[in-house]
Amino acid sequence: MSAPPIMLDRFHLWFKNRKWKPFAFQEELLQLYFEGYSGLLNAPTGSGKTYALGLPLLLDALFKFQNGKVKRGIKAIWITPIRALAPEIEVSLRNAANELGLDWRIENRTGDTSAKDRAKQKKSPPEVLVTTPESIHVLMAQKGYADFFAGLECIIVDEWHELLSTKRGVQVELALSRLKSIAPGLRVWGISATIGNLDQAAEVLLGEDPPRFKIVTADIQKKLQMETILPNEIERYPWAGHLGLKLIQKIIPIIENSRSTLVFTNTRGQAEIWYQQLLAAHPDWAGQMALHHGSLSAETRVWVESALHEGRLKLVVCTSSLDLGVDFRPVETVIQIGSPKGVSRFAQRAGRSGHQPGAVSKIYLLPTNALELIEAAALKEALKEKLYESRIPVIRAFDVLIQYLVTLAVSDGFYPAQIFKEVKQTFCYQSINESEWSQLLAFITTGGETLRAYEEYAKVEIVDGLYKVNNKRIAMQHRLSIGTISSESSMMVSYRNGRRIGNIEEYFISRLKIGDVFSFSGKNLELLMIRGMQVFVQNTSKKSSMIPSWNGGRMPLSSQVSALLRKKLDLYVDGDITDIEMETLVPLLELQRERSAIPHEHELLIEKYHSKEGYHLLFYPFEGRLAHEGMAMLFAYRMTKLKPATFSISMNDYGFELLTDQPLDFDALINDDLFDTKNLSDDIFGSTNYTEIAKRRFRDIAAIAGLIFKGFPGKMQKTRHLQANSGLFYEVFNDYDKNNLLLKQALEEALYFQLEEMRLRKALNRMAAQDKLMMEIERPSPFSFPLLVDRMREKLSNESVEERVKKMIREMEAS
Amino acid sequence: MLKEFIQHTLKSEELYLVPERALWWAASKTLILSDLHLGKATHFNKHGMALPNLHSHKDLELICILAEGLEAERLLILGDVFHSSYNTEFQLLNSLAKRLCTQQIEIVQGNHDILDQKYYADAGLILHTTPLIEGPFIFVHDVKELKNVNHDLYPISGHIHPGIRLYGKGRQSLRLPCFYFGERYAVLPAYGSLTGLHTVRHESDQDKIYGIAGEKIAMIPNTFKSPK
Repeated sequence: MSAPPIMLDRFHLWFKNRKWKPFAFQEELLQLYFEGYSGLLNAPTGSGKTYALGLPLLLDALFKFQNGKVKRGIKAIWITPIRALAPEIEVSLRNAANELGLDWRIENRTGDTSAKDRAKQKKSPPEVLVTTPESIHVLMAQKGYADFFAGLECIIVDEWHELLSTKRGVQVELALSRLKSIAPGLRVWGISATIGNLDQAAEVLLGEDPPRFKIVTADIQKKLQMETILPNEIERYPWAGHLGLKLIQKIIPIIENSRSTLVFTNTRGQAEIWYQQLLAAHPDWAGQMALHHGSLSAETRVWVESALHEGRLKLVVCTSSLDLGVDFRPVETVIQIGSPKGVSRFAQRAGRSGHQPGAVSKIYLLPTNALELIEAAALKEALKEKLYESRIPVIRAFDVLIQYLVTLAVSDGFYPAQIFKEVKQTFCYQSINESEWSQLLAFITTGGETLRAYEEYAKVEIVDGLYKVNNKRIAMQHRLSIGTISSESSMMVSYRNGRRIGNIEEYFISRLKIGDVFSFSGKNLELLMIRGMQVFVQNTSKKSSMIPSWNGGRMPLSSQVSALLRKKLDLYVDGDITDIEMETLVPLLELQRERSAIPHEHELLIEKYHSKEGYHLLFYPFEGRLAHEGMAMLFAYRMTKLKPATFSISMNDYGFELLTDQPLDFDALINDDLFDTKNLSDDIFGSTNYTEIAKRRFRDIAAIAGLIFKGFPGKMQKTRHLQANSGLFYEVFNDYDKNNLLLKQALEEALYFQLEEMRLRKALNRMAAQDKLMMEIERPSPFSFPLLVDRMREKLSNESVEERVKKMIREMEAS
Repeated sequence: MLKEFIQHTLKSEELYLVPERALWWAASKTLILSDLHLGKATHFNKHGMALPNLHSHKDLELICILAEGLEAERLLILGDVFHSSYNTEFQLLNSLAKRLCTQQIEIVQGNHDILDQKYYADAGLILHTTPLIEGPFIFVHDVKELKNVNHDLYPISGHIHPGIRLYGKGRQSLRLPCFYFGERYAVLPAYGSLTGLHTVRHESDQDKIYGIAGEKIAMIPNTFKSPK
């Protein structure tokens, strides 16, 4: 049925009352919704996307209401990846409902919702629930969840591009697979910013055999303008580093002249430092500036967001925590510290400014080291050409599936045949086979393989074919562990009166003594005492140089930007310098040419260098740090196949370094076999380092699959005798249960996600065909410098432990 | 068998460090080890976290091989024998006791040893609930438990699962389980397979640390300073 004229009138009236005009895509969505379509809306933040789907939903309800076809209960679920956004969406929808005269309860439900409100929602559900992927699963862990969701008509998944390439996205896929069975005819709509693989995004969301669906693109063109902050004297600008403080004076006038500015950094530690330095440079900004990142308490973050919204802040230093969500209309300017590594993220951040219709989104890029100027030039072109990155969906995440199965077992229990059918329809698990499925069932019922159960294992029981958790404690433990976001073991930091400041990783705190001063949340804090997992502090005027670091994955340079970077260098070699960034870099690039060389696109630069530390071999494929890690492991393995040796490696987005303590005949070793993609995975599996990477992946997998329990909330101590080190688990599985699915998953994830196997393979093929530009360097070249000074090293070895220890001890004794 | 061992003389007593993470006190024919954490995997299984526990069998088998090979008269375990409350893995201790019927098995209680004493008694194991004084040594689980001790006694302890970090050229680094012989006390490496490492360092020139690299034991030079 197309939208009834009366509802179409209401639609236009609503816009008129708001003094707005509907966009064409908003009208299109109204029609599609009434016709029962599912689909994907491609629209940027701040384009009215909430109303684009909210209004059809509400008008459809109003129409049914007027025709007397109403039952109470949940009608729609709005999923948002960030729980802080839920209240915002709730208010927008509620206002619209009120204006339309629809008497609907619209509420949010997230980890922040009180137990009282949750109980109320369970007894008498609202019509619309704004929630997160985790909370949906928590609801599915409740008894009678099927009745609870039975009247569901629509699910809207906001910011789907953010969820797509994560395990939280898989949680959405699984929830949808179940809800489609419970509520036949369910419409599913996603909302996504522009990414390179929109069609696939729709495919993943809607699953196999989708209902009628359509991808709708918002007809809004936002103007983006980018400017790079250029150092005055490139010769004196650091060759390596991630801070960029030398350029602080250059952004102060920009901030002064803008009503409100967002300064984005890539890490939380960087944000803390920049906040302090900006305050020191401009003390009168105190009170008008704020800090925002994911480790600060929710109260602080909410306060900053609303102050920003109301235009009360001149400046906010933030991380990706402000990438999404709320429209900050007063923000006029965005400054990005350090390369954003990808075009999509850069465009997203730029879009945080210039929300007024017709306004230009302006973003400044401050390079934190000289070479980032090449990235700046590449990014500028990528923005112009709209070369947005793809988000690769997660597949075969057994850990999430195990968690999901236990969730179903905790609530009402499940029959495997039905659930297997549903799960197979999802994109993530379309390739799962019967044998894997039975292994999963065995895992949750007997622990180990089908033939050999683990002793005293208690989890899911089978009664008359129904898989069910009957043990109350295990059910409770599971409900508390639902989710896929891993967190380092973090400690809560608060004042003596209990007011929370935020969270810091245990590792950082463990290195402090009582009375030590550290900077956090933009303040200098003195450590008073530690009680369990809680840290008490007080403000102090004492200075500190200690700033916590948080372990967050650094994103690799995207392949789009990488390719452009190689192109920029190619143009440079031939004297074609048009970008101001490249022009600024001339002195440094000439030094690179003098000490070594600059590669054309058809060349691969390799540098050899001998220092006190040993023999360095440097490759510059310009392919992003993750693929470089894979290459380094592969090359080290292949070079040492004949002769045992130990390498320590460092890598960045431009290249990687292999460093060894013994002279090797590099010229002979660098041959066609080195770049061969045959036996690629076998050779990578052969590298000892691979185990380390798999172990790291296993840590999250073990937590998601419920192998590790983080403890009951509010309990000061971790649950007694259940503390565990996932690394040990990994070894135990490796020794005694090699076919374990989670172990297999860790190995696969390490290859596909950690080392970006697809990209690695492509790069190797390219490199094999390239001319090798072998340069012996006397002094470090500008390209090599950041690699040579990197202290965060991985080691690669195929020497025996005994051998290595002997050597190390000999060296230690000699020194 | 002894030639794989490293000799370390302490208070005129000849001690041998065994790469299987144990200590051989020749004069008293005692094999000393610490921190078995038996039952850990099964404890996790009981709480719905699936782990294989076959390593426990291997761990105990190795104890038997050592004890029999050395013709030990006694096995002394410095605490954390059993990880938590009772589970079926305790049967392994029973069978260990049966197999080593000519040897006496003694345990100095550790913080993880919360089982009722009767379990140990039934298995024929001797449980010391206070530190054990013998010869020039005092055997204790956690050296921090000791207060007002006679300073002529040298404590030998477990509890912390010590590990040592080595650094080499090419900025390599490596962490090994280790024996720590300090000025004031000694710490043995954790014996159990399902135990982690806590990094220790030389605290004075008198400290001696032996790292376990696979099947070899090596004294770690004290001159070493970690690069900053």
